[in-house]
Amino acid sequence: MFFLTTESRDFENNTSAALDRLTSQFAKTVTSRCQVIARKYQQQDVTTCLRLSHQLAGTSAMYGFEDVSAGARQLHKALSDGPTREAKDIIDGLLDTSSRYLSVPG
Amino acid sequence: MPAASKSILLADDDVDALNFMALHLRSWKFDVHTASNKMELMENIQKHSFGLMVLDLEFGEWDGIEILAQLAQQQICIPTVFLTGCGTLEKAVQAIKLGAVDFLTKPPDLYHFRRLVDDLLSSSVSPAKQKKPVVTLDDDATDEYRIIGQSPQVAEMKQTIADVARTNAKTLILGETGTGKELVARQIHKLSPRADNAFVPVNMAALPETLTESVLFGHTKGSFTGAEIDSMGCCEAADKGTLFLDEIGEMPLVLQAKLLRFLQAGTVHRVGSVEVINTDVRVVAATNRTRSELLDEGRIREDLYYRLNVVPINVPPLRQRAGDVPILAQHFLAKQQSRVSDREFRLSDAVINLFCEYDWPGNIRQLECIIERLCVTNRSGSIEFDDLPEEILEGRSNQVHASAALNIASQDASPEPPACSLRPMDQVQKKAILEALAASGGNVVLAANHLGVGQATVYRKMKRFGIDLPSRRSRAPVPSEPTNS
Repeated sequence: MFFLTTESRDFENNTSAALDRLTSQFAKTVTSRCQVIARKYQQQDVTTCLRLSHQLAGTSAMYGFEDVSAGARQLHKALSDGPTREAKDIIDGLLDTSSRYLSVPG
Repeated sequence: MPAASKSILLADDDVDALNFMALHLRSWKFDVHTASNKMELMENIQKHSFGLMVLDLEFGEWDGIEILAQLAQQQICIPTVFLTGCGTLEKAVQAIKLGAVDFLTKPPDLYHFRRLVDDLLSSSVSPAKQKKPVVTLDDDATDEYRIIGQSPQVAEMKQTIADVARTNAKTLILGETGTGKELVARQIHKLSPRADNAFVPVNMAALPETLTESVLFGHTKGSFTGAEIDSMGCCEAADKGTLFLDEIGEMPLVLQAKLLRFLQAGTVHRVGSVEVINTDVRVVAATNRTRSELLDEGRIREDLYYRLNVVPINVPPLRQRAGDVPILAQHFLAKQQSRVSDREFRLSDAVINLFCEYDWPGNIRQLECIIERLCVTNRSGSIEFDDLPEEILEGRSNQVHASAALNIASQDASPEPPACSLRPMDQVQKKAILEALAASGGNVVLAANHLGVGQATVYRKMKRFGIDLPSRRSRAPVPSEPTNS
């Protein structure tokens, strides 16, 4: 068993506040990240799409954006076989999902 | 020696991911340095020493696995945990083969991640050892695979291991079951220049015949029912490392030709593929069968036998290195103490003596199992003669040697111990009691103490073996308490 000292409680509060800040910062970038992926896909730059979808899958999962992460993972898998109709549909879905996070306060 | 570094190098090309991980690691009071590109990563490594690196698998335009390989080439070894957004089994295998400590997908379970980091930093190598250490056979007492023993046979075997490890020579390890053949193979790998790469053990006796080819050489998707993805085999997985083929005498003959081709050319064809895959693998094989069993009974192709048997290493059975039994017994006792109980255990002298005289048909594995059983069932902490299981007390052995029977008849007359120590338990016990009585001047209490058993046991055994105490007059005087009279 351990007890929280005032100092450690302050530290936890600070960490929690810092995490909230980081989460809202990330939320603001979700839509633009998806837009960049869509643009690169239009330019048939599959390599960059793969890298960006991999990034988005991992980072959005860290911040708790499960729906975005799942979409990005699907896209990464679909793009492994090159540009497909399925990949285009997933990107459209991601743009739709991410637009909801534009209104996240902070 | 400088203290082990507690600093962590966190490398991810996504700044949001980097900030997230850094925030948590710093909240747990770790010293964290961050890198969002390869240049920053290399600068950090040159300027600081790290106890751990947490590396993104797809690090921008760079592959994290390639970065780890480059660092290894420069003799820079930092314990590394890979983090990835989309991991595959193949990537994980590659990473682990290159020496990565763990492979986690994002988001990592923070509780387990913290424990992992704690464990890694508390056991981290010192900065001085971040370059590859030179390992010798005896210097690593914490190595769970070290070979224990001081007998001349073991000393000679260790020397052969050290000699052969420096080369790429194929090695055939021969020895009875339970003698520690895999330990020998692991030591060869550990002392070899391949030590930082994979050691892949395959037990040929444990593989179903239908799967052996696929397990060894891999397969392509659709090559047989159930082959849903391409998969590498053990030969490929051991690339740059060591492949240990245990129980080679049990390998199906049909596949021995394919193995021979692999040994000669170093190339692999996955099942269902014509693609040639080049590998660089050192092969060490082992068997508990004798040469005549292998060749005369046609268990192994002659050409394969000679191809594998470039350097043979004979692992002696435990009965031929009885002097090592007390050291091994103490080692397993200590292992059990830390594993199954916080109590201290002690083997009585009588037990150790009996252990030294026993034949150990199951060799070191049998000794380890007996010690484990004794520790689990013992309540007092002191393991005595009477605690021993029947198989030991009765001296039953699956390997009955004709010479043993001959030795029994002559042992009383001979001052030297018999060449083979297999004897009926009654003889061992009788001899032990006679010796204890002689040493204690016929005093049963002292003899019982010496044997580590109760007086009643000694009296019972004396009666059973027809041992009569000498008359009081002929007994040696027993020290007694001084009296005032």
